[in-house]
This record gives sequence, structure tokens and C-alpha cells, in this order.
Amino acid sequence: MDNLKKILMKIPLLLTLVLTSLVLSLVAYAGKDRGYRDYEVDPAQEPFLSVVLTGLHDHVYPWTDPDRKTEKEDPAPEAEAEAEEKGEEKEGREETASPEGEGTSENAEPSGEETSAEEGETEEKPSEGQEGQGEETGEPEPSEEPEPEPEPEPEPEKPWEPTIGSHAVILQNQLTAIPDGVCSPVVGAKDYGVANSRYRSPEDTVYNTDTEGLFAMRNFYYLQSSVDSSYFSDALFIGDSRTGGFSIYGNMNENCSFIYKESLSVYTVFSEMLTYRKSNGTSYSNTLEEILTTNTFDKIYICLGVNELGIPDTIRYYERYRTVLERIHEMQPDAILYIQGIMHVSEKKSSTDDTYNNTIIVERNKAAATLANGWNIFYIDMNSAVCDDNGNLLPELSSDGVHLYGSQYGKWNDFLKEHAIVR
Amino acid sequence: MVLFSSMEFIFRFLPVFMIVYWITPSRYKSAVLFGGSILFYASGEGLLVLVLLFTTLANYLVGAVNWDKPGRRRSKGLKAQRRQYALAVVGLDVAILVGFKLLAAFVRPSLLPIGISFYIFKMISFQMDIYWDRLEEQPGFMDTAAYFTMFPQLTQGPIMRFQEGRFYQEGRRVTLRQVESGLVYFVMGLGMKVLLADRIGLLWNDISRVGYDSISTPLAWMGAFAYSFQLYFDFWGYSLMAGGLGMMLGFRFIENFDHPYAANGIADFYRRWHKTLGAWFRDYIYIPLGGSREGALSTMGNLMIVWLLTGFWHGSSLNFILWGLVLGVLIVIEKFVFRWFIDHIPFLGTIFVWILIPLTWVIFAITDLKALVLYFTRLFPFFGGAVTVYSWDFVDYLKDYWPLFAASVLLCVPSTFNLIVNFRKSRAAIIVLTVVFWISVYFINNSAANTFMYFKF
Repeated sequence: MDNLKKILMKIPLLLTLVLTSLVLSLVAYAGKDRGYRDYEVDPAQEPFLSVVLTGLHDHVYPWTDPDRKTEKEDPAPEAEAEAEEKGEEKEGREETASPEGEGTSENAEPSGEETSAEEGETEEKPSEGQEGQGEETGEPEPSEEPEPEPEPEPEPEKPWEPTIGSHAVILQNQLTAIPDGVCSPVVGAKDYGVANSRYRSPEDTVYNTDTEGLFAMRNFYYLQSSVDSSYFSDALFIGDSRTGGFSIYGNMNENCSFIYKESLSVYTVFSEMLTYRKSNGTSYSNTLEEILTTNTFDKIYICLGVNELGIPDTIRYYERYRTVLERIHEMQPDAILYIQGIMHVSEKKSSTDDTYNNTIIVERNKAAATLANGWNIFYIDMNSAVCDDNGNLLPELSSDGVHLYGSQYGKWNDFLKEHAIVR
Repeated sequence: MVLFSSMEFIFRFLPVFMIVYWITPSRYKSAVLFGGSILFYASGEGLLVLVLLFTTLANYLVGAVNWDKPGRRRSKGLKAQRRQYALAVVGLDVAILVGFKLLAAFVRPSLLPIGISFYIFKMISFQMDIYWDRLEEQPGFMDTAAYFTMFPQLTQGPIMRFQEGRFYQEGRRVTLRQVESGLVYFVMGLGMKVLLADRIGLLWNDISRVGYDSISTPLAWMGAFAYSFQLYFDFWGYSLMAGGLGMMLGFRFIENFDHPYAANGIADFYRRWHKTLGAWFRDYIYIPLGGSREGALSTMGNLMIVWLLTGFWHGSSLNFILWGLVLGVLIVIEKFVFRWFIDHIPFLGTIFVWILIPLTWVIFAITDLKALVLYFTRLFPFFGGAVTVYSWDFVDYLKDYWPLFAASVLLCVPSTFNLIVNFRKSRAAIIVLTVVFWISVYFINNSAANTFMYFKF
């Protein structure tokens, strides 16, 4: 015994590392059916304890319920935070709360099933059964897209009614499609056949346009026109590192505001501390929620989507984008919302990378573009300003094929000035 | 898996190999080391392991034939034969090294076997040491093979000499003390690489992303220092890991870095930076060429040859040649012009190091010559060039990176590191090292295993 102790005293670090590894392995074992259930470990390449470390990063612990059975009240924000943490979950919308409704997108993302059903259970308890029924009759067979059903319940708030100024075109009937000149067309790109199908949606997916609610078109629309830089004095840009670069190198109007963070995505935009920055250089950390409640913006530009490319799949991206737009609109009902299409990557990247390639980007952009309604949500695509004929980001504009050089952000600025909505 | 800082290496290869190695009887340890190293290499490099095996075999065979008891009287014929064999096998080694370098430069970079620059240099030193009668005993096959291929040194050195491996003892014993000290060095090196080098290196990426044409002069200098620190702590960290692994195998610690940023002058910097490479060039190129014994002109010539070769050894693109050339010139000027000032004015040499060395690393870093010139116009804006888009950019970056810069500067002071080494057995140090280990592993786990965390935009 004494001998053993003597030996062990000679190797304190080795001993500590072995013991801590054992403890972490036990933690991993303890959580294998709960928090770490959905993590995969290749035992030939990594230790089991790596789930603990991955979990730590995702805010998942052994006791974390993978099905999120713990949430009782105020499900919406909670659920959102969880979804962001797991990066894998789907935000169930009220309309799709019933299992049948969810079935459509489920075939692409099986892990979302319990989640959304769960959420459905927790939210809107009284109307749940009816909603489910209504949907069953309305939609007998599961369709290929997460089509938003007509809402049987009354809308929670009266949508903002715009003053129809000189830039609006007024029609007799409600629009069924947005005419040219309202949004920019989704810029296409050459498909090099390397895209990982995991991140895509079934080819025949159709994103139907809502006939009611925020995303429905009306009997009027606005046309794009060109503006000068004063237009951006009451604008907010939300985005990832690309928007971060734009805020520094975009040479924008000095009252323009930016809120961004590297690796930001539609899944995390409301849950993370972001950098809020004015063009005049002042910056501090804050959440998007706080900024949107304490300020008023006339135009809100959203530029997300690169960091989501590696998260399956396009339907889920679209669903989440909707939710983000709904939430922003709720807090800033008078603002024009711009969905900025994801900027393409260079040919070098697009032809070799199974995740960050233009095939997936174009698919995602097409999906997001269907959310435009022509009167307060618009899709704009600046790729025409920075891409070649094959839709690849010009190599001389970027060193990594993903971000513009500091000196090139002016092209983005110019594009926005040429494609603005005035109402 | 050829990376030490990977989950697979730390939690799979290393523990399994070490346990097998430790329980193997002393005289079979070299065989186990050879076998394990080949596995280690093949798992990352695939068929390129054949190059390693072929050169190992060829060099062993010639070495075995050429070895002769030192100090023995030899016939003229034997002398000539030894000379021919040594020249032939060194020629073959050089041809293989240069051949693969050219192949990688002109055909495909992936054709370069990892670590070939290091193991070929070991093989050349082995042949020359035999030829020069520096090996007292005839090296056996397993010892020689283990020496050439040992996994701690296989991919990035240090370039140990055969004699330093003490292969002559009847087998190798490993003490617990060695294992513990080796582990301490390994964890220190791991932390340096993962927590310091990899982090501060992101600034260099940021700068390339923004483009050299639009960065401010202060940011350009910050970038030069960030890259210098990245390179230093990456390589020093790697060398500590390699040295520590060597100790855990029963070898002595091979020192590769001796606080170069505390050096008194450029030449002194390179006596302390990547010491085993510098010593190799000194012993096998510089001194055989005549060193500094044959007058100033010949010394200058020899120094320039050595530095040109050093440049080419690091990479075959033009910027590496330029880098070697610039260093050769700097060292020649220092030796013949500034020597007196450096010796008599305190800190002058160190100031030279801190200004000139980061500039030489910029040449080392930027392979595209046009971009290199552009970067220098940002470092020295009075030469003209592009216009800074946003002149306060460096403040933004400083806000994010200042702790890393502070830690880097602190670690450049020799006493900081020595303090850690001296107290490495204290309870506090064990706790700190454990924390460093797990934070490093956390970073490795969440960046390498998950590509989406690695690629963040």
C-alpha cells in the first residue's frame, strides 16, 4: 500500500489526468440516455468523454432533457433558446403544432418530431385539439412543403396598415405573385455537384405563398428605386461576420446601425450577445431583443444564412427564417424588412466544398425569397454585383472565397442604394 | 492522426501505445517504437509510408556496411569505399528530398510526405556521423529504424542525432519520473499551441480576409506580430510536446527552442530558434564548407549558402528563398558591421530582434510576391500604396486580442517559462496544468470534430 502511494506520488499529473478522464467518462455514461442521447461518438477516433465537451459547448448536460419535457410556462422563448443551443431542433410554429402538420417536414428531419409535438403540447393548450382536426380535414395528405395553413384563430394583433404613397402600385385584387422590380431576382449559380444532400431539401419542395397573415401579399406593392446614403440613417443591419465587415468597411451613413456576430445564424440571432455598432464607431454588446425594444428603425436588413449551410436542411432554414421575421416585425411593426440573399462563395470553394457551395446557397435563397410580400418584406440579392456569369464570387474580391475584401464592401453599399424601397 | 493535438492521438493512440511500450521488455522497446511509429504515420499518410520505409531500409543497410570501429587503421581502398558509399547514400537522400519537394511544388502539394524534410535530415546526419567515426558501436536495425521513424519527431522534428538517443544501452528503461516530466512538457506544449498559437493566429486570418490593401499601418504591424507569435508558440509548443513524448519513451529531452525572443541579435536568435535545425546546418553544411576559418569573404559566402538552403528547406516557393536570403544578408551585416554595437549597447540586439524578425516572418508567411509587396507598403506607408479604408481598425482588433498579445509577450521573457518549469511539481502547478489540459482538449474537441464550429463566418 505504501509502495503504491509512493509510486502514485511520483506521477501526480498523470494521476490527475487519468482520474479526471474517468470522472468525465462517468458523466458521459450518466447522461448517455438523456442529455447526450443524440450525440454520436466514433469510439475508434475519440473517447466517450468527448460528448461531455461537445455538450458543454452546446449547453447540454447529462441532465438536459433531449425531449425538453421540462418546459411548462412561456414556451416560446424557452423553446427558442433550446433550439439554438442544440442547433438541431426545429421551431414548431403554432400553425404546424399538430403531429400531422409537422409530418411534412419531418421526413427530412426526424429529430424534430418529438420536439415540435412537445411544443405543441405546451403551447396553446386549449386550441390544440381543434387545430389538429382542422388541419386533418384541410390537408388530408402530407404535402412536400411546410405549407403554412390558414389560421383558424384570430390574429393576435392588427397588422400595420401602410400609407400608400407615390411609389406604390395599387391593384384591384390581391396579388398572387410578386411582379418584377419589387424584389431582386434570386441569382443562380453553376452546380458543381458537390453539395451534400443532407443540407438540402427534396427537389420537389414548393414554398407556397401565404394568403393571410404577415407573409401574404396584398393588393398593392412597392417598386425598388435608387436612394442616397441618408436613406440608411434609420436602418439596422442584422447579420454575421459579413455584416460585421460591412459595418467597418461599408462606408455607410454615419447614423446607420449594425448588430452582428461571427457565426450568427437564424437559430441564434435572438439568443446571443451581439455587437451593436453605429457607423460613427461607437459599439457595445447587446441582444437583438433589447436593441429592437429600445430603438425604432425604419428599415431592417437581415443578412444571415452562411453559418446555417451546414445545418440540415433548407425547409428548416425557411421555417426558422419565418419565425425570425415574425418576431422582428412584432417588435418593429413599421419597419421595412429586407431579406438579403446569402452572398455566393468563390468557384474554388463552391466546386470543392460539400457544405459551403453555391448550390445550397441558391436553394436557401430561393426558399427565403418566397417570404417576401411586396409591401413590407422584400428580398434583395446583391450577388449580381459581385459574381461572375456562373454565379461564383469573383476571386479578386475575396481572399477566403467567403468574405469580401475590406476595399470591396462599397459594391454592397452601392447595390443597396440602387435597390431600395421607398414608401 | 499525424497531429498531436487531436482527440484520436491524445485519447486513443497515445495511451494504448504507451501502455504497450511500457510493459514491453527493454530490449524489444525499439521494435515496438518502430512498429507503433509506422502505424502512426500510415494512419495519416497512407501509402507515403513506403517512402519512409524505403529510405529507412536503404540508410540502415549502407550505414551497417559503412560503420567501422572508430580510430581503426584503414586501408586506402577501404577509405575510398567508405567515402563512395557515404556520398552515394547522402546523394540518394538529397535526391529523394528534392524530388518530392519539386513534385509537391509543380504537381500536387499532397504528394509531399509529411515530415520528409525532418527524417531525411536525420538520415543524412546518421550517415555522416558514421563516416566521421562518431558512432562508437554498430547500430542495430531496430534501433536505427526506431531512430528514423520515432513518432514524436517524425512530422516536425526535433532533429535528434543518433548518439543523443543513447541507443547503445541494452534496451531502454523508462522511469516514472521521466513519464511525469514528459507529460508536464506535453501539456505545456499542448496549451501553448491550442490556447495561444491557434487563437492569436486568427488575427492573421482576419487580416487576409480584410485584404492587405485596406488595413491600417498599426494593424499591419499587429498582424506581423500576431503571425510571429503564432509561429513561435505553435512550433515551440510542438517541440515541447515532442520532447515530452520522447521523455515518456525514455529518451532525454531534446531542446529545440531557447527563448529566441530574448536573443541579442539576429544570429543569436537563430542559435536559439529551432536549435536542432540550426545545429544540423552548422555541422553538416557550414563547417564542412570551411565555416568561418578561411577569411571574411569565404565566411560570408558560406553563411549565404547555408541561409539559401535553409530557405529552400522550408518551402520551394520564391518567398522562402527570399526569406533565407534576407536573413543571410542580415546576419552577415550584423556579423561584420553591427557586432561591436550589439556587444556594447545593452538591449540593442534584442531590439533588432523584435523589429526585424517579425518583418522576416511576413516574408515567410506571404507566398504571393505581389501581396507581399503590398503588405510592406502597409507596414511602411510612406512608400505609398493603397488607402486605408478604416484607420481605427486596429482598435477593434486590439479589444479582442490584447490578452493574447499580453500572454505572448510574457512568455517571451525567459524567467516566466523557467518559473513554471521550476514549480512544475507543486500542487498549484498540477492544478493549472490539469485545467490547461482540459481547456485545450475542449477546444480541440469542438473545433476539429465539428467542422461547422471550425468554419465560422
